[in-house]
Amino acid sequence: MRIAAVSKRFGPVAAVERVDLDIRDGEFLCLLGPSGCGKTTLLRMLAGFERPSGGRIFLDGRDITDEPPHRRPLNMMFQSYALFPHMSVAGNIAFGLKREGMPRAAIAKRVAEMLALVRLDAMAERRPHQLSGGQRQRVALARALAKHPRLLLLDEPMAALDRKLREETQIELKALQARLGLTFITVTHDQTEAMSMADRIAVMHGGRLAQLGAPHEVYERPATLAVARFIGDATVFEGAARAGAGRDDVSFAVDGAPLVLDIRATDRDAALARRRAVARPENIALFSRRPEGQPNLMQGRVAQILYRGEARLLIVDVHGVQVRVTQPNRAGAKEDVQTGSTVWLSIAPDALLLLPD
Amino acid sequence: MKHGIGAVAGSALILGFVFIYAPIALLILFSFNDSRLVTVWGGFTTRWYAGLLENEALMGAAWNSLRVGVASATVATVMGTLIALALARFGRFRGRGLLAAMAFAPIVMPEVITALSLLLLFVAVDLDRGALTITLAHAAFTTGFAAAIIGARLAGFDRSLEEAAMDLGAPPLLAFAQVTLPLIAPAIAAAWALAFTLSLDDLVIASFTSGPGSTTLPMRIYSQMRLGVSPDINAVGTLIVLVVTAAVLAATVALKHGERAGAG
Amino acid sequence: MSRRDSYGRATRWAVLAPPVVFLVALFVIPFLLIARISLSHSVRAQPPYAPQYEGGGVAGAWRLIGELDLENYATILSDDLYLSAFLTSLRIAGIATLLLLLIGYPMAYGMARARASLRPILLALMIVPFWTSFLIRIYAWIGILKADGLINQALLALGLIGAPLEILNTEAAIFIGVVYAYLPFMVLPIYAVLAAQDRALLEAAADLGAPPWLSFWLVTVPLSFPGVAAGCLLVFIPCVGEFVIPDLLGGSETLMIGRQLWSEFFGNRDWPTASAIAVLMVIVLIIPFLLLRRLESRGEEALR
Repeated sequence: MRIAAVSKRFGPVAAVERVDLDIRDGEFLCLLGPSGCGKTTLLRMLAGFERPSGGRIFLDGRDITDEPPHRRPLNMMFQSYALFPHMSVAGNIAFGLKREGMPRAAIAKRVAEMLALVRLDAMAERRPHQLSGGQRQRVALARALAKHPRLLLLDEPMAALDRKLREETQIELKALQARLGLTFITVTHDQTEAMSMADRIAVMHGGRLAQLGAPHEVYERPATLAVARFIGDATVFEGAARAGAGRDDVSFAVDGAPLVLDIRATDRDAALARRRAVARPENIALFSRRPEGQPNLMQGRVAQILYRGEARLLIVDVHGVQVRVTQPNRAGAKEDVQTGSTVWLSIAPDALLLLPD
Repeated sequence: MKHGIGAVAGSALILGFVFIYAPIALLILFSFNDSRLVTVWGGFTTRWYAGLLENEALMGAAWNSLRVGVASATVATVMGTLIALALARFGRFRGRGLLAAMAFAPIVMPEVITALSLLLLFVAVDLDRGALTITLAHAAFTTGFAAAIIGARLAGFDRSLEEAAMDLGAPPLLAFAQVTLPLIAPAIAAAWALAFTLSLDDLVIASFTSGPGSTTLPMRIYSQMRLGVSPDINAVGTLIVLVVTAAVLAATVALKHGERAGAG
Repeated sequence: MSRRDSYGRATRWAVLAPPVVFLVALFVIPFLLIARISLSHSVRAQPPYAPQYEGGGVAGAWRLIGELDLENYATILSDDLYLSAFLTSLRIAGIATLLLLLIGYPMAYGMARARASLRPILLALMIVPFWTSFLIRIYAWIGILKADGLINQALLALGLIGAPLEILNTEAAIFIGVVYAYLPFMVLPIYAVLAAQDRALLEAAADLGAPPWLSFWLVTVPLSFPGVAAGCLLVFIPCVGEFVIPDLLGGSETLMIGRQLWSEFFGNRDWPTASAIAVLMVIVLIIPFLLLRRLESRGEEALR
């Protein structure tokens, strides 16, 4: 599937603006972004429920932009599941097959297959309101998969599930996608969900495609400040960059603090124009005594400690900048840092990223 | 409305509203017709309206209707509020279904049956037929409508508001008076208005339960109608339609305003 | 149901007692009276029925019960006049309900699918006439339908007919009147159900390959069934007992049971027969009502 310069305006508001996206056969693509970023609108344009204001959508080289939803060879799993309340589970799954004019016996066979696939064999005659949330979700999935779609669109598939079930379902869904070899496009605002399931993530921000890449690329090399902020945790230093000693070295003077950071940039010319340096909390080392020979050493005071089970998040005040640092929790580790303690932080020059806004 | 079904529904809607409003518009138009033959235009006049004021029988009947309407609507609103409150707030108590059935059955019950049954009651207890019996009968017949309107409002507003009041130390009655009552006030007003117009409009029940000297406006109009169309009735009808429409619009605005206050 | 505890016993009684007494006195007892008088005989007296309870405690009551009989019912059921009035009422109410459904459903659908900003206005347009005088609105049709009325004038002027059509005082006029007066009662319940329907269901149907008309037929229509049932009942039951419309528009030939009851009461002063007619009407009408209750609870279950 190819999305070429697709835009959607609602009155004066541009929900989606000139998005270009090539979706590979058999991949699991996640549209990720905060609410209102246009990801759902984009998905609804792929399904045919919204007509793009500009641009074209191609499927297998065929322009399907003007095709109504009921003629598109792709299916959608709705956020609310949209199960027909007046039909049984089997009736819901058979709905799409009947529209194809499939013979009765073949429909029955396909419905049984789908029920087995989502492990709901015993529930065929139940009505949707007699099922649990997780079971409804699986019926919605089975219904969307029954027609052998070229592409499955999933709108916030986990939104209605509680946390424990959500994790299990993520694993199942990923395994199912791999087994069927189908192309999945899912929309989510949950970065953990996107990172654990997707082959590639398309981060959307303000109607535009901010970054497209594998989960580790998007996390480790965010293209913009917005992406860095939305995905994972980050400390943002504001300041001014100037050329440093080496060919790739940049010297970054933090605004309002006697602090100059050494940064190794991949593209120094571009980096020199940027005013924001970003560091992930796990890439910042923390010492309770002043260490020797560490790069970018900063002294600060622990303002807050947030316990998170496998790790702690420390918020360290460094000359007024709130630096976020994570420390893994290990059994028997000595607890020598408390709120109010003076600590030293160090960041490797290549762990600091200079990002455009 | 791009596809066929939408177009069909859209045209049905327009034709339907023409069907609903055309007769009313014609009624109003011909009330200004200077011709005894109501449906033949003979020039503009307001003389039928002036004539109404001199028609003592009609004015007396209108006065009766107003008194009965105000009294019966007040009783119906009080009863309707209590019923709605019990149905919406007392959980699944024993006899709940029975109460609902008793309250709402008169809404669908053919009027002749309600009318006859109430008359038989008044005769059995030897109550002289007159304004009082019509008032009681109208109250009985409109209570269900009042309960339905207030009940819808009670069901629609956030129950936790009352609970918050109780949590903050207000006993249930005080919570009701200070939180619930102000929030359902617009619905109570709407319920009163509906009960009043239903009473003002009723012919069948009033005919059964009225006595000599307690003729209501619809009874008076009806006895004239049986003689055929006449410009006076057009004039009366126009006045009724305009007054009621104005009242309904005012009530709608009040209800909307109340909803906004309730939401905010 | 822990919530019921927030009101004390005394409060509950204080709230429940007045309406219960009121409804029992003005709804239940009158009904029992109808049933009792339907078993009496018409006499020239005040009140015009016999036997009366003349004291004597339990023995007197027993004597009274002994004198009651089903004669009025036997008369009504064996008399072609009443029977045909019953059947005519049911037939007219049935056809009118069908007409109302055919006209009301598309209107309700149009309202439910109109722009959100337009919907309150359409709703008000539908409700306002229902508040204004029923009698006056029926009267307005006399001037339109009568021999020298507006329709005939218009058709004559256009040369479409040579002589005035007789519309007033026919069943057609009754249908027009009933459809006109009861339209909101059909439209509003259907509208309520359609407006509450989840649009995602239609999108799901489209996504699974159903073109718009088929989605409408397979999803919208079956899910609107509770509203359709409520609307049909809301117009059918009062329509069977309708008096004003057949009296003003139907002419003297159309016998409807509500009118029959009226004339037994006012014309013949035969209260027992009028009561027996009322009892039979209730029996006939209660059946569709119970049916609706069952359908409604089933519908609610499906929509939960």
